[in-house]
Amino acid sequence: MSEQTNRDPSSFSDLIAIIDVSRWRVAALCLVAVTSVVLSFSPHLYVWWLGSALLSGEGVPDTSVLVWASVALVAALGLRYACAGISSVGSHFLAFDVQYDLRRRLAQKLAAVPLGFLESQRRGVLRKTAIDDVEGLEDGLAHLIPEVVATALTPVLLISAMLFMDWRMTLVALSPALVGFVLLGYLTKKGEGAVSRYQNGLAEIGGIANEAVSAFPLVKTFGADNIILERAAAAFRKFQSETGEWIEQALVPSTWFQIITTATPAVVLPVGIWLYSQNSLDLSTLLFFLVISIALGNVFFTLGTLSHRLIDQRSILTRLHSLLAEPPLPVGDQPTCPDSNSIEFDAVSFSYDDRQVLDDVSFKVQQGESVALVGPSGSGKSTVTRLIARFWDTSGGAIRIGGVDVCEMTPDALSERVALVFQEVFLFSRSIRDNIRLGQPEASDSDVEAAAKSAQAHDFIMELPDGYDTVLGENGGGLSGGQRQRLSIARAILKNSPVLVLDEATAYADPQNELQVQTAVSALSRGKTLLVIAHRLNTIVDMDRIVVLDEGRIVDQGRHEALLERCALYQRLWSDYVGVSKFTFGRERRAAAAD
Amino acid sequence: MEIWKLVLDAGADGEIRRQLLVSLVLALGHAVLYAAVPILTVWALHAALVESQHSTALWLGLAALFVTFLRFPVLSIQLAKSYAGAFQLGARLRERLLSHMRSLPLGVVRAQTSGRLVGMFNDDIKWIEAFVGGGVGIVIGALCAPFLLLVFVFFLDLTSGLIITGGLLVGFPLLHLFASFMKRSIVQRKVRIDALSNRIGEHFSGMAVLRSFNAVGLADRDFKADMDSLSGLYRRSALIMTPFSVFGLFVMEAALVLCAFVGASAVNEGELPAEVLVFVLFVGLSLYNPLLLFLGGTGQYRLARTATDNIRRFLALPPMISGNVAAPQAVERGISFDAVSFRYDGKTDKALDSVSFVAEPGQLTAIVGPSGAGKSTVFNLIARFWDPQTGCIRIDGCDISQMPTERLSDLMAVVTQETVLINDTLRRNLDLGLPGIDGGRLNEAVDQARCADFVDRLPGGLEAHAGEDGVRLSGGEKQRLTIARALLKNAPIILLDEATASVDASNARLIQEAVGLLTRDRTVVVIAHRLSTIVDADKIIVMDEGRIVAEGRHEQLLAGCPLYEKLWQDHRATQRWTIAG
Repeated sequence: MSEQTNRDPSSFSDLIAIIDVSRWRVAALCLVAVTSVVLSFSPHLYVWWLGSALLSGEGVPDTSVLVWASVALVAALGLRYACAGISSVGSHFLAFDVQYDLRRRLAQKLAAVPLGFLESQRRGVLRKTAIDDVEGLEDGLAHLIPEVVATALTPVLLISAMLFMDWRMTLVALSPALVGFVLLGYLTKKGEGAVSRYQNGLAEIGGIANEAVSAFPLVKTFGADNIILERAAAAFRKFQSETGEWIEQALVPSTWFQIITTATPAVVLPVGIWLYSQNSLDLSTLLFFLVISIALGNVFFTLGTLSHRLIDQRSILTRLHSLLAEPPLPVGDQPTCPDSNSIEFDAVSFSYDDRQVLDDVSFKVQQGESVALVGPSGSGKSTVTRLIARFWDTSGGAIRIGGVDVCEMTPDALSERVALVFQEVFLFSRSIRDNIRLGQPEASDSDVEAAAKSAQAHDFIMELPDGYDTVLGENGGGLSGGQRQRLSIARAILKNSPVLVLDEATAYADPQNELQVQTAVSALSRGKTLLVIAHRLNTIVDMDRIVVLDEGRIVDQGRHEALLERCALYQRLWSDYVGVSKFTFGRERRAAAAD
Repeated sequence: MEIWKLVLDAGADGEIRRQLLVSLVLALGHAVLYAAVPILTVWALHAALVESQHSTALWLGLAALFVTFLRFPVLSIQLAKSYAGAFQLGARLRERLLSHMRSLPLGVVRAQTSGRLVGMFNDDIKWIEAFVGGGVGIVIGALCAPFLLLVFVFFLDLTSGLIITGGLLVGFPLLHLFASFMKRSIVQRKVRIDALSNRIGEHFSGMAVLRSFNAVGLADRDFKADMDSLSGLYRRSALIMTPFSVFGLFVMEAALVLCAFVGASAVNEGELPAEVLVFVLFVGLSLYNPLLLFLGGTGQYRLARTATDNIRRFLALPPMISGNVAAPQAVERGISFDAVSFRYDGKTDKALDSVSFVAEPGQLTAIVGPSGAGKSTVFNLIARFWDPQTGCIRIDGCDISQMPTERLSDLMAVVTQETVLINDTLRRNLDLGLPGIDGGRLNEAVDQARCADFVDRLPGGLEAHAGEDGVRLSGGEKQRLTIARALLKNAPIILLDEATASVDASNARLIQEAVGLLTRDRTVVVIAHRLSTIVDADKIIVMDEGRIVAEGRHEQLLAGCPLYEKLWQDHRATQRWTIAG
């Protein structure tokens, strides 16, 4: 599939094209399914054949004929079910292969798209696509292929045979289905409103239940029963009263369709008997139609329900298609070597969702220099670090590491040069050793331990049941924020990249762990080119330079003392910080008591 | 059966039960009507072919048509009744779940994952509604109609009846086996799909790390292993299960061939009239279509059964028992812990071990200690999120487990990092629909909690809808709203968990101002994380591993408690640290 595929797929063939499977395999499966369907009518034909013989007074066929016919029928049934089995297993295997392949491709796609694409609010949707949608394809591939073949083919075969026997009876036999489909169209339209109201109602009580559960602490601690519990109870009652309309306008009519489409035998019988009594229909033909109307069974009903499932499949394919068509982040292929370990922002602008996040930002961190970024929330600090990591690419200007544009560096080269430590730590559900070794896959066990020691992590690791081989829960579950942060620092220490970007690396540490996290950060940042974002301004007072950002622009830069003298924004940030760190509970109260 | 018990448990009144019973009877009636058509067909053929009574035959044919028309009202009414009953039952169950949740200790509710709780209200009840509304009718129809037809076959010819029954007896268990394999495979599949889903989630959230360490291939290997495992399971279960279903169906149909063969021999011998054999085969053919629906119906049953078990398990959680002792109006003697021990469910270590202390009225008591010391547990027990296993907690000498829960909740306001906003206007979020809160007090609280600046900025001010687009509140703003809510409540006791929020200094400062106002003149218990904030506290309780190590004022503890001194030194060091230094 080419990357240029239209992002707004309109044709079914575009959608089908994302399923990469051999046409021959599908054709073979269809053939097996068809064989099974054709043979499924053998008992009916047998009963017809025997019945005609018995009732027309020809008497019982010869025993040898009967034996052969029975043997043939058993063989036909055996083959029919063998084919059904093969078709079922075969199409399931086909479905599993397709699911496997699609998930593989989705994973590769996600590894190639800009990181910003994976930002958290989209993750749920992506996860749903990769899991539920791909899972949902099973219905399309494993069930719908044989079923569509069967349900489409059955009427065709039977109607041809019926027309061959008697066209009048054919019309009679098909009349319920015809009425049914006209009715289905009418009723579906009429019931649409009720159905969507019902589904909205379901979604609404889902939301209400969600809120009742998440806001439940308010019930306990504030006694907010009436606003939360009673509202939920009222919504449940309202939903129940609304279901009456759904039952009346959607559910009950849909059963009419079921009754009508399965009414063939009841229509064929009186008309057939009447024609027979008029000598207009022979016995054998009457019997044929009676038997065939059983074979028609609920094939028309199934046909009527097929469309929903096909529509589901289409929307699944549409979602998968648009995800697979997401353009990957372009990567450089020239192994240009940075000539130093500096970071340079050269007139960088960046917009996101039509909002200008960074506007003409230029600054430089020389090799070995330490620079901090400060600013009020929303000033664009974090965007700066994310652009270095290429979560997104800039909308204007360039970011260079050692003089080379990050967009032109190979992912290997960029990752070798720059290490990032974010406030959000990520740990894999693997062993602690593997998690640290991520920094350098060839590292020996003693290297890993040395890194852990520098990161103040060795001691708590040794207290865990399996030490370095302890397998972590999902995202390091079971460890405290500070312990997790220290593991992520150990990882960066092992990696030992010359350029280090720290984004609030100590913020999530629980206070009890803070000192150790700080020691770890000190060990990590020794001798590195350093770019830091920090909330707690006291931690950056001795930086070589502090860059003050406000609303995406650089307001000023300089050393702490200089900024404190001349930059109004920095003064405000500093006084807020000092105020916060001086706060004590008692003083307010004392003051009040002294009044 | 379990489901019917739940129907009764849910407090289904006479009306619901009557509706469901009527629908059961109608479902039986519908099955009879369904089975009547093949029987009438045979009867009509008999009249036409054997007795040559064409008009009788025609009348019988018309009767078949009439019977089919009769299915419309019967099925319509049946479904209308069963679904109406099912939805009423669903509503009843949802309310029952709510009120049970209300009666549980908050800790017990929180111990359930929120997904599971919400799932009970949505999916579980949906499955029960679907089964009670539709599934029961399907199962009854799928069993009764073939049964009636089988009885008719027996009436026509005993031998044929036995042969078809034999086919069913062999084939049906095979199909059942298939269905139970299916059930097991669905369970295993769910486990593997969840694993895969977690892996994909990990892939997403770890992508930044993976890329910056150039280790995407590593995660890809894990991902592939999970997919291999899932795919292997799929293949195995398809290969194992399919033969059962295919063979079961084959046996059932092959019985019909045997029936034809044996019957034809009997006709040859003159033991069986030829037309009877034809009738038997005709009815035999009609028997399988409805029977296959049974498997679909049992699938619905299994889902409803699992849902029922979930709900019953939740309803079996013991509610919190409260007494009726009159609670104090104001707090004059403080909060006391008397030898309180507590262990969380499933944990071996005690979270609190014989803890005794007094939080004096009108004073600020701070609880400090390393992580895992039991600070939050003290907090949770005062708010009665859990009840202690031994010991007693009193407010003004009154055992809190003896107070009516509403009165206990009136006594205190809890402020934690967890900010809960409901999907309603900001005003509603603050007054929570409680009576006696006028606009003046509301505005005052908004001012005091330093919310005025951002509330004024929102379109509609206090009438802005939290959670709607354009009303994006930052973490710090949400926290200030929570404080405003607590101010409005004006409770004599404040429980404050002052955890390290990752908010910037400007926000932190506003929050501190608001908290300063909130804690003034009240009895306050605070879990302190930054020791510098509590140096002026009236009393500091130092905890370690579930026990109280020391208590006193800051200066006393610095001199007399080594653990406190270490915590203080660590804290000082973190304050002095600089990154580049």
